[in-house]
Order: sequence, then structure tokens, then C-alpha cells
Amino acid sequence: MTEAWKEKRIFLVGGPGGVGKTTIAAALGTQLALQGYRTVVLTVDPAKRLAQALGFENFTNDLQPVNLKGIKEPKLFASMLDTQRYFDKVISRFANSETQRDKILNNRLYRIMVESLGGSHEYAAMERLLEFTKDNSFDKIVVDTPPSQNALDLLNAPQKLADFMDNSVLRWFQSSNTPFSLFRQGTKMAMKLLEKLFGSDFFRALAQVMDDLEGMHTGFRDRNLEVIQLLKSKATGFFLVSYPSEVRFNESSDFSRVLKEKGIPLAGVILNRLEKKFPKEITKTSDLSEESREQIQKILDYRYSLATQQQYWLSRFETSIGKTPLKCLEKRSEEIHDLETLSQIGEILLS
Amino acid sequence: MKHLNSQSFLEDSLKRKVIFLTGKGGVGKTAVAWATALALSRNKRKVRLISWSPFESFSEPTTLKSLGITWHQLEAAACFKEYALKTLKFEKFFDAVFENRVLKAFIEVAPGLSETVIAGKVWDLFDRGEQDTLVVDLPATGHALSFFKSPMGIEKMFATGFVHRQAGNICDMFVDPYTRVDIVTLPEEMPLVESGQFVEHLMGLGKFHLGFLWLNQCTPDLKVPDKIPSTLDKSIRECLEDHRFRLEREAKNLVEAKKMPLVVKKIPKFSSEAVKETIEQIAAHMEEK
Repeated sequence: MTEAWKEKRIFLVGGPGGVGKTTIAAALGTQLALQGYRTVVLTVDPAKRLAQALGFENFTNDLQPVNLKGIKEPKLFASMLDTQRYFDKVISRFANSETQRDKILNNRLYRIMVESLGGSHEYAAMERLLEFTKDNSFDKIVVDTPPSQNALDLLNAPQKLADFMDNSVLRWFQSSNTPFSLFRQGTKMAMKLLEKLFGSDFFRALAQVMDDLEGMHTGFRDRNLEVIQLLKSKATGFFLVSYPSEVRFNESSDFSRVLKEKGIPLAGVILNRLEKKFPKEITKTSDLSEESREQIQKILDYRYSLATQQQYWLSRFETSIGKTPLKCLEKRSEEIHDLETLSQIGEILLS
Repeated sequence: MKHLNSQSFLEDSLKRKVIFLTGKGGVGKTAVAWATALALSRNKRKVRLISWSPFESFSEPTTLKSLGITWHQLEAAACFKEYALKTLKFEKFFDAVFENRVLKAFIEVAPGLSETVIAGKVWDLFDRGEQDTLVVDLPATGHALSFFKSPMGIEKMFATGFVHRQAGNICDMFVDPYTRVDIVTLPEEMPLVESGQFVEHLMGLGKFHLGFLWLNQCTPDLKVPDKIPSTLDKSIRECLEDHRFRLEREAKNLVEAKKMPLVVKKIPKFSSEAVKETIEQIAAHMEEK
């Protein structure tokens, strides 16, 4: 990433699921901390082993210092996001009164809504990020974004929630007698439909939550604007993690196109799990039996074809991203769960 | 205890009416679902492939078309509309209601609604029986669980309404003897742990018929000589040792996989460049055994 990363304060690590995003976010964080920056890594759902490496084994707090060898003062912090708890906090902040807050938090349907709301993880991650940016004690913030096949899922989450919290939507569920209009007429029909579908008890409970959320929309809308501004700012870098294959290439192209449309520059592309290149053939004439020679050649052929196939997609990545910095990480035979390996990977990424 | 009587993919699959597939993100779940559909249609079954993603999904209709597979992508809002118009005899006149921004927001946020309407659509296709087999490519494990959970939750939570009645039908389809749930995973530690957790959750929900556990992208069983000759180049020795290491690690993981109540099947990692070719290779491999 040359030296460009030094100007960045926020490192968003994103991409489709299963490409090793969490590991890369942790590696970046570890290396930044070793270079002396006070760093926080925000992650949503780290794999168990990785959580252990970062010191999450018995975490009780949502911000936890991670001990790095040879560094006395804690430089690396890890934060694991609990979406439900975080949503409660957001509700408490935006609520106009304690009564309003308690009414919402105690509603059974509100709890289920947070769980099933599309993009609730993404929203919570963006909210938490905003909080960290306002905390001046952190030099660098690394975000392991929730896996999204599409950049839009991630970037539109705050917008979607803001839309939902929109005053007119909330008012729709309230029983107030606004003047007759075509819209109201259509609305009445829709209400009737929903009630028929769900039965009146479910519908009444839902209308109650919507009623309780009244007046909170400004808070959500303002936060949404703040998030968009933050994502576009020069201090933010979006790092796309992917893998050299057809499916991943297509996904990544979509991803970076959407980022571009939204005015968010791509700071770097990281291709993970590259196969090592081995010789194509046995060159030295050694005293091998015909059988062994054949066996060995088959393995070499297989490994060669894996590497060649990756090379093809790697070159497609290179052409399509143009001047955006590209880093490749070799596939590791063993699973990664220690700080030393993480810092080695981080070193490659920042070199 | 495995749930399947037959170890043969074809023998079992030819009897099924619905096959659900799920797995952690990035394990090749969609490729295995497509290959399942392809293998069955090559064996004269009329197959319908259904995919659904709560995200705006990445999809490849052209590839599927060239493979000759009938495919539907289900979307919650459209399914909701179809359902309401048909089941409730809700008049077409109120079409505008469905375009209503507010209603759209509602569908997105109402607990379990999108899962239930999608499941309802799957049930409808199952009930009409215009195909022999429905292959359903579910979202990644976490979302797949809410797909199964939602109709069950709705059935229990709300005593009245059409959705309640519909939910009963859907739940029956989930545990129907002609329905099977397959899981796609990798021969690696984390994906296997996650698959195990999914199985546990699923069995807690009801009497599902678990089918195959596909270990995707396995290192092919190419034998490494017991003694790697020291006369070979260093890089070749390194390659062979790495290959052996992968095989040994995968063998260990296979032992873990076999503890689950599914029939474990390996799919080798194919080194073809194009998606279509890979699907064909996987399908051919499935048919073989």
C-alpha cells in the first residue's frame, strides 16, 4: 500500500464472506500497533481461534486491550460488537424520555426486529465506528466489516434504517386522524391486508413499537449523514479482500463499482490464499522408480494447474483495478491463531 | 445415527421432492446446489432450482441457462404480493398498495416476514408439484436458520391469521419424509465447527431429515511417496511435503465430519477456470458414486 496508508486513520476491511477478512483486519491492527499507533480493531464475529489470539477468550468488556510482546503500554485494543446490546444503546441515546426508552426496550417485538432486521449488523458497525472516530485517544481504527456480498448492503444500512425511521413511515402506523387523502386510502387498504395476514394481535404489537419510536427519526437521519461523510473522507481507506477466482472476481468488480458510484475511493485490494508456484516438472534425473515419478508428476501437475488458474484471475484483477495498490498473501497450510503470524501478515500488507 | 438409508447420492436424491442446501459463506454452496440440480436433470428428473438471498444477490442466469436448468430467484416483496393477491383474493385494483414505500419498509423489517413468504412460495411450488425435485439454495448458515425458524416461530406466536395457517403447511414441508437438508462445508476446522453448530440448532427446531455433508474443495487423493527422495529439487520436495500435510490435515478433519448425523461425501477441488465447467465436474463426481 506504499506509504499512502500512513495518512489514513480508518481502515475498512470489506469483501464477501469466507475470504479471510477477520484475519486480515486483525493482522493490520496488530502491525499498526507494533509500529506505535494506538489502534482499535472492531470486529463483528471473529472466528473462535482468532478471538483467542486477540484476547477475547473470556471477554466481559466490549473494548479489550491485547498484550503485544515487548510493548509495555497497551497499544492494541479489540472490540467485539454485540448488535443487540448496541442497538439498545442507540435507542437509549435517541429516545426523548426514559419512558419512551423503556417502552421500546421492553417490547418483545422490538427484540425480534433487531435480530431479523436486514443490515442491523452493518448499521451497528457503522454506529460504533462513528463513536471511535470521536474518541481522540485512538490513532488508527480498523473495521472488520460484516460479510456482505454486495457493497450496497454495507453502505446502505444506515440509509435503510433512516428511511424506516422516517417520520412519515412512523406516522403511517399511528391511529391519528389525518385528513382524507388518496395516500391515506391506500394506506387503510394496506393496513387491512396486513391485519388479515397476521391476525390482529401481532399487528397491534407491531403498531405499538412503531408508535413508540416516534420522534426518533431525526437522530437516525443525522447519524446517517455523518456516516456517509465519514466514509468519503480522506482519512478513510476501504480495503477490499478477495480471492483470485471467477466468482470472487465478479463480486469484487461489482463491489468496487458501487464504491465508486458512492464516491468512496478504494484504497487497496488484498488477494488472499494464493497458491505457491512450484516447478512444473521433475528436472533432475534422479533414481526414481517409474511409479514414484508418475505419482510425483501428478501432484506437480495438480499444483501447477491450481496456481495457473489463480494467476489468470490475478491478472484480471490487476488490469481491472488500474492504479489501486494490490497486495497478495500466500495460502498458509496451518490455520492462523497467534499474534506473531498476524503481525507477519500485517507487515506484508503495510510494506 | 445417520438419517439416510442409502449412501448413494443418486439413489436417495431421485426419491426426494425438496432438497435444501446451506453452508458457511465462501464454501461453494451455490456451486454444489447447481451441481445437484444438474446431476438430477441429467437423470431425467424435472428439476427447479430456487435461490434466495436476503442480500441483493450475485447471480449467473446465463450459466444456468446454458446448463439447461430452470431457475427462480425469489424476492420477498414479490412473493408477498403474489401471496396476498392469490390467497386473500385481494383485488388487483389495490396494486398501488404494494408499491407503497411504507409497505416495502414493513416487509423488510417485520420479524420473520420475508423468510416466511419465501418459504411460503417454496411450499406453493412443492404443493403444486409441477416438478419432480425442488433444489433450494439457501443463504449462509445463520440466515438459513432464520429461514427455518421464522415459519415455526410465527406458527407458535400468533394464534390467528392467514400467515399462521400457512406457517403450519410450511413446517410440515420442512420435515416431510421426501424433504432433505444438505450442508456444504470445507475440510477445514472452522467451517466444520460451524456446520456442527448448525446441525445442532436445526435438530433443536424439529425432526429434519439430514442428508449429505459435502466436503467441498478437498485436495485430490494423489498419493505422496512414503519416502520423499532427497535427490529431488528442494522446491519439489517442499511441494510434496505441503501436499502430504494437506492430505493429513484433511483426513483428520474427515474423522470429525463423520461424527455428524449426515452422510459425508468429498468433492475434490477442481482446477478449472470457468464456473460452468466446475459445476459440470462436480455434478459428474456426484453421479459417479
